[in-house]
Amino acid sequence: MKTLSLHAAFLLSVTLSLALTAFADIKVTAAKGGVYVRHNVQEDWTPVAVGDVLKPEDSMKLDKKASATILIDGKDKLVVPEFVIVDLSDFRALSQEDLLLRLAMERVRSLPAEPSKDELQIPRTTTVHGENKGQVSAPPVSTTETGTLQLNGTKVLFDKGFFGTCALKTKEVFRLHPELLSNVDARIMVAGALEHMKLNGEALGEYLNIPTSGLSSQQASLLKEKVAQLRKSKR
Amino acid sequence: MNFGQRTRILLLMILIMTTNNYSQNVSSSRSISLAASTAAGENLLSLDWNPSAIIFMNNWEAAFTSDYSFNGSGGSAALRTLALGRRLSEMHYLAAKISPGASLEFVVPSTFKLDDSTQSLQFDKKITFREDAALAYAARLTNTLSLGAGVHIYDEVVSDTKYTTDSNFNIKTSTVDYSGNKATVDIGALWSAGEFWKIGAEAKNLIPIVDRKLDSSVEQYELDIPAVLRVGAAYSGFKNVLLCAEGDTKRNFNIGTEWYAHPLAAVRAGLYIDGATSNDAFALGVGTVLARVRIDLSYLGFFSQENRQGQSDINTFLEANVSNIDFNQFTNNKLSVTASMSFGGPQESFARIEYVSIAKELFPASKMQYALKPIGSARVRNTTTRPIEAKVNFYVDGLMDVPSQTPAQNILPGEVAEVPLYAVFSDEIRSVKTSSVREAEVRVAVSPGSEESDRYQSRVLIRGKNDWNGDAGLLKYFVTPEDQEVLKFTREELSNRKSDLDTVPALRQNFERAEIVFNAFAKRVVYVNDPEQSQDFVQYPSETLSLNGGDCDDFSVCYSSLLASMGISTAFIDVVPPEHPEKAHIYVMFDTGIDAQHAPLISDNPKRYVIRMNERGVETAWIPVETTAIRRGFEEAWNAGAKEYFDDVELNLGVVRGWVKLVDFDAVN
Repeated sequence: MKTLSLHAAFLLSVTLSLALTAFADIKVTAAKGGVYVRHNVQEDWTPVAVGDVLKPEDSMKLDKKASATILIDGKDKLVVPEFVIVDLSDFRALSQEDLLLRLAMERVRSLPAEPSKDELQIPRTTTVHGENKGQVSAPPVSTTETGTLQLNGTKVLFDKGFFGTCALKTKEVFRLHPELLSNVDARIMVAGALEHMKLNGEALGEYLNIPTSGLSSQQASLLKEKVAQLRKSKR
Repeated sequence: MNFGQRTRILLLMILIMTTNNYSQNVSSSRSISLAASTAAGENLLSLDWNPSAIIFMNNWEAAFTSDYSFNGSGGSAALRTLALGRRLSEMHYLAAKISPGASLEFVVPSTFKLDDSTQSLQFDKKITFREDAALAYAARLTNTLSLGAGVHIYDEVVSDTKYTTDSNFNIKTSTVDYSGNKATVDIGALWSAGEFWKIGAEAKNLIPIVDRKLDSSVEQYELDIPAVLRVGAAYSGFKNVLLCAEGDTKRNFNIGTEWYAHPLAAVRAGLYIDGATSNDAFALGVGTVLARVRIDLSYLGFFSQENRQGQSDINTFLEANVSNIDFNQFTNNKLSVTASMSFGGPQESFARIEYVSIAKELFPASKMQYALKPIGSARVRNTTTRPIEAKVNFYVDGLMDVPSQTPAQNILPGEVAEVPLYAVFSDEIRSVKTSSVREAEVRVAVSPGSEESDRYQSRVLIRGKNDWNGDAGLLKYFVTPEDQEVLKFTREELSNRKSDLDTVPALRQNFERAEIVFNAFAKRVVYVNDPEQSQDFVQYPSETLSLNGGDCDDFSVCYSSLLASMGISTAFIDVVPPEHPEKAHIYVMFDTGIDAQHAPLISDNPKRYVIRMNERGVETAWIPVETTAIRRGFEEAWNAGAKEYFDDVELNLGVVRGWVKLVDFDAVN
């Protein structure tokens, strides 16, 4: 049954992703509770009304107990649950090749830029004197709630079958909100998304990176089973 | 056994015992020890085994070879050859030799004796074969192919004693000399088949030319010199090692190797394999160079000493079909020494520049890069017979303080090397306003010797100081954060806003300063397209600030310089849409220095910034700014830049697919 529902979700996601690949317009057909949109790179969230047409570069935010239904390209319906932030552009399927390239880019991005050996490198070891002791300290920033909303959004991506963008977005959320790395279910979800994309090596890496201390018995058992299964499949 | 057979046996016996002189076919000590020299180009003495290889001579060369032969009663030494050669021009070469030691002398004892009251007479016959001289000519047809021809001149003299009687029956004797001359022509070819391979071929004694035959009464002593075709190959792909092999139509197969243990010391070994008889031999040799004199020693030893050193069997003589008097189953072991010397006037060179290739155009803005990245190469050939170290200089008058020299490169004898060229231009190049063609000179100097060997003139196109080839990686050379105009601008603007900056949290300082400077910059400049010309035109920041206008790359360069002068790292975002490369565009992003967790201090929308690792290994938030939106203010320029970046990189995977490039410029910090 579980397999069947997963297959169904996958088929649905394929259908949706085919529509979204062309970055079609997205129409809001239903909205209940606090539903907001942030257009492209704008700062502010504005309330969404039924009938509004959104773009793939927009983002949606839903408060607790809110929900919204969107229609993609006039034919595919998708329900967005409460307490999430989602980028509409993430409702698309990535090919395995594109996902691999994006993952590689993430790894490269996490390394300091190496100068080309063809280029002249002038040592920059000047010590700057004159610290401004009168500087004002920055106020503490609490972004965990935003991160949680974004993480919930990645769960929506997983449930809808958008495994590639789910994996990428979750990793991005963890980068911006490292305090959320303690969310083991989310980390297991990333690994699962990579498995769905047939990237078993990457999935195994993700499973192995999850700390084993503090896991529930169910989580520990699942982790152990997955690691063994993926190791076996590698041979 | 008849008279003829006895005569042949005696002749051969004396041949073996008369050890003074052997070879009709001179080989240098190097070629003896290499065994397979047809393709192993040498110098003057190549005229004996492949005349086309004399192209490796210097201006003038002289050489001699002497050997010591080990016979049954000890041994004997002889001066074999004296040779002289001249390089007539780059294409034509001439060599000549005389061979005082190259003669065979046989005494055939008389079969009877005349005795009378006063004397006892014996009428021995003396037969002498000599190689008088040889002459060779070679032409270098191309850089890889040479052809040569050689003529060897032989003399045959048979001295016989005749007797007559007078009317009183007194016996009178007289010596009669019968002489004959002949010559043979050799044709040779040598081909450089690639960087490490040489193929050589020689048709030896191809054309016999008989000037005068021996008298019919002594024609049985006529020297027979059969033709032989020989082909060989030499490989120099291993450092300081030469491997060679050859085979001929007489079923001889030879292999050899030469190793330069030191630039001035060579060790050689060779193997002769005779497929027809048991005439296999080995050879060992060493060689060195002292000043301009090269000295080579070799030892030739035969595995089987049967029938050598005067031990012969009658049946063996009769059955042996000796075709090479110099090298056969009756030849003795021998030690050889060869000395050769190069000399000549200032025209002599150790290396020659065959070709120079330089980049199509050089951009003054990129002058720092040319000091480290080659701007071209010079193909240099070692024209000597020993390894050299070549240093190549590149110079453009008026734009360089001194010639730029490459690291020394080892080149084996006769080989070529592609030597990279570098250029350290002076600041003078930044004053070149428009494109101009300049004369460039390439020189090669060689050690040992440290003399300039050759020079080559070429032309190079120097672009104007503002010219840019469109490569985003080179745009950063236009960024000048230390420029006085740039420093003055930023310090003044920051000073004007000091009271505001003092209230800004430390984390936001970079961001606020970037905004202040952008807005101040926006007030001064307008967007103006480049002048119509074939190359892209980039203004230096001081020019943009004084002209108060520019296009996207001018603004990107200027804004980047302004930020860098405040210690803020920047990067260019170079976009070349694959479907519309003509719409290529550049904008800028800068490092706020704010770590990822505090990025919401500048924006709640993650699409407005880019998390990247900076040069200090910290992940920080970077802000893309569309500098052509400058008139709309910082906020709009930021929005436009962020939107472009999101579309190009996040949605369309531009970086991953290679049509968006990020080029970092590190600030002083």
